[in-house]
Amino acid sequence: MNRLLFLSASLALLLLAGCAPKVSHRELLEGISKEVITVLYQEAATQASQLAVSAEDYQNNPSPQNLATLGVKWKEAAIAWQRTEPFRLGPATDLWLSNKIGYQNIRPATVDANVAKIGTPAEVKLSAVGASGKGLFAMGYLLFQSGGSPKIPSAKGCRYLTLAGRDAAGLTQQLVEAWIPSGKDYSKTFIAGGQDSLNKMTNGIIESIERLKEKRIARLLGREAVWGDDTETPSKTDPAMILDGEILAAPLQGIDRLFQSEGKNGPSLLTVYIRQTGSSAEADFLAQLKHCILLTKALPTPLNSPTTRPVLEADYAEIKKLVGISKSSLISALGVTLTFNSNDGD
Amino acid sequence: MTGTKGLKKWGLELLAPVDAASLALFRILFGFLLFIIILRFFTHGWIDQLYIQPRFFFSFFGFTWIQSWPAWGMYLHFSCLGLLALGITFGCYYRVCTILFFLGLVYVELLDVTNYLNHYYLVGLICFLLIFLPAARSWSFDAKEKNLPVPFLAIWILRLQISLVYFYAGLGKLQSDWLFHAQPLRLWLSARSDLPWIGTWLQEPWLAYAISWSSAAYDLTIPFWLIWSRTRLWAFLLMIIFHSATAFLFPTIGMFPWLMIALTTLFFSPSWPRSILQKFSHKTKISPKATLAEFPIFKLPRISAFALFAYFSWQLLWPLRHHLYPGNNLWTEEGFRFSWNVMLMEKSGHTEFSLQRPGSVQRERTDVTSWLTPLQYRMMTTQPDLILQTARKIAQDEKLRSGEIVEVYAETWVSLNGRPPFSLVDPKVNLAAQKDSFLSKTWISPSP
Repeated sequence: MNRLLFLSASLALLLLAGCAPKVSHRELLEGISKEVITVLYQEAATQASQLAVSAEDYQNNPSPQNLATLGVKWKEAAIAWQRTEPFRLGPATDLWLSNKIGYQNIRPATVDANVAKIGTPAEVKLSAVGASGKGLFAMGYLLFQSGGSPKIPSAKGCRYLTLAGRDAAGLTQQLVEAWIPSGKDYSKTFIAGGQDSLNKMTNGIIESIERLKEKRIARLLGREAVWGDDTETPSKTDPAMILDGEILAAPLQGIDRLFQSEGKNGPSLLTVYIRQTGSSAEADFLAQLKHCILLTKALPTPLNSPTTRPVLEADYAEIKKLVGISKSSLISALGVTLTFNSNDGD
Repeated sequence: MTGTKGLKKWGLELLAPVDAASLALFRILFGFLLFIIILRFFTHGWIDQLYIQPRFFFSFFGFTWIQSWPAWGMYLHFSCLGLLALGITFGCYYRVCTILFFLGLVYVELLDVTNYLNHYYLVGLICFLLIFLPAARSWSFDAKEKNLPVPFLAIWILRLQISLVYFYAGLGKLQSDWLFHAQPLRLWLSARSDLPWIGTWLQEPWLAYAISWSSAAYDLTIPFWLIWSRTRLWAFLLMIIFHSATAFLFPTIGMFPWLMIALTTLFFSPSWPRSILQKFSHKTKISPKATLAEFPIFKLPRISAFALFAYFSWQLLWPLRHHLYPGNNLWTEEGFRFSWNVMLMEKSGHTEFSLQRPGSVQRERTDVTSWLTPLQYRMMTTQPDLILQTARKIAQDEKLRSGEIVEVYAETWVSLNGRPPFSLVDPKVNLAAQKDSFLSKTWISPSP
């Protein structure tokens, strides 16, 4: 009898230990999906729709005030969109929406040709225009091609801005619909994906940081290296004209959301999850991430000015450290790359 | 005097004729596993991925002269290995098959360090031993006479080899990361916490500690439990549970658990397969126990005794060589390979190389991911000797391209068993000027 009691008590203790509050894979992915990814896409959709309204307002009333508002709205939309960059999973890439909304290497000649066709029988439908001729950065090109404050677009340019704004807003809304439960509910697939989803998301985060380092900052420094198997074609536009520190820092801010506990007290789900593994990766990564956000946001404009170079160099060095931390302790803590050979391991 | 008598008795027992059935069954199982291993190279596309796609191979020290076949040659090579594995399984031209399989396997393993795996090393050693062992004396196409016995020593040689693997694997676990931080198991088990039913438990630190300690105890003692007849069956069942759990929790571990299960059958009585067959079929020609007495004690030539002594001395001492190097061998990886360091670390990292031209103070970033495969890059970035080979290759290529003798530097961030990332190699050292050798590498940064 005593033995039976002892066994039952041990089993109960074991079960209690098993039920101790922990962040499971499911909870983590559910939290990330609902509180981070969907929210970021919703913010991007809201900003894109405000941009579309603003572009229409300006087309109807091309006043300097409306132009200034349009410039501000464009930047807010670009920042909100760039914050989603680390999370371009599932529908963003499967449906080719990501490029249609915010492809950065737009072709100015294509944009100019499309603008020229406005009001003519050859006018193109935005839904038929490729990624390099539309989207937020095509709008940015029309507004900021000479850098600084927004330039006054032609009447045709105004019309194109309105069309592009509406198109971007519609596509961003499609992305939101694809993630939310009342829509296509990709979040369900994301959550069910378990470790595989965590792998994809973490790889997306690392790719986003590396892109900032190699494709944005290094390019501004004039030393863009061949980077992995990246197939991104060289940009036709000078990023210094339309980008600034705040837009560049946006993907990092998106990543930072993973570590914010959305109004709740205490650490975020990801923080708890990483700490459970006994790793200290979260603190190191977060400290470096915040440091990089501050440095990048503070980059003076124009980004290609000779005086900006030392600051860019410093920023590049710090982002390099962030890549190092991401590809070492962060992926270890998240179990993303196990030290097994892919041809069987031990 | 008693000691000498005991030794002599033990020697006679080793040379006594025993039933060849367990050795034959082992040959069949092992040959079949070899065939499956080779088959997996085809079905998973590893021949292309590991031996055809790479534009550069990392060499083992002293083996830079080994070159890969062209694509068709690699496929032919692996096809031959598959046929040879079947030859071993069926005991058809057994000796020729084991020699050729051994040579063929050593060739592919020496082609690129990044493909090194402990279990391929073990397979290589077993193949080497099988060349000399009479594993085809029973249940084979080669066997001319039925039920010829084998010396007990043949089975003990394999038992000793397996015991050494387990024992050194256990010895490697006697370090603070494994025992006092339950790493890397905490990291690895957490990554499997998406499994239904047991997932939540895998996040429990106490479970990681329990598994760490019990697996260290298991590895260190299992050979003894397997040798002792009173505990053998329980030890074997425990071993099946242990290896099945490993295969379930870490699917990428591949064939290793099944290989170890097959190898461990050798610890049972030499006639166990025949006894089991006897239970199921009364027609089976049973154990030659009665006839064993008719066979004389085998003789061990002096040269064979010396070769055995030399082989096992090497097997005993080689895994301990890391003690000759300073620092934590998990970090430096000096003396790490060929030492049965199994599943001891989770190491991830990132390395950036830059080169400096003569007379210049500027360093140019050079990207190696354009000519290393993702697997090669991942393995290189955490292993100092491979970082050195990469740096030297960059310098060689630059000399060919521009004729300049450049300096090459590496910035590394490496995390070991959940620690924060540290620099693995000294970023101020020109790696292009360093030579590889068995000597300790002074440019490896101290362990965090």
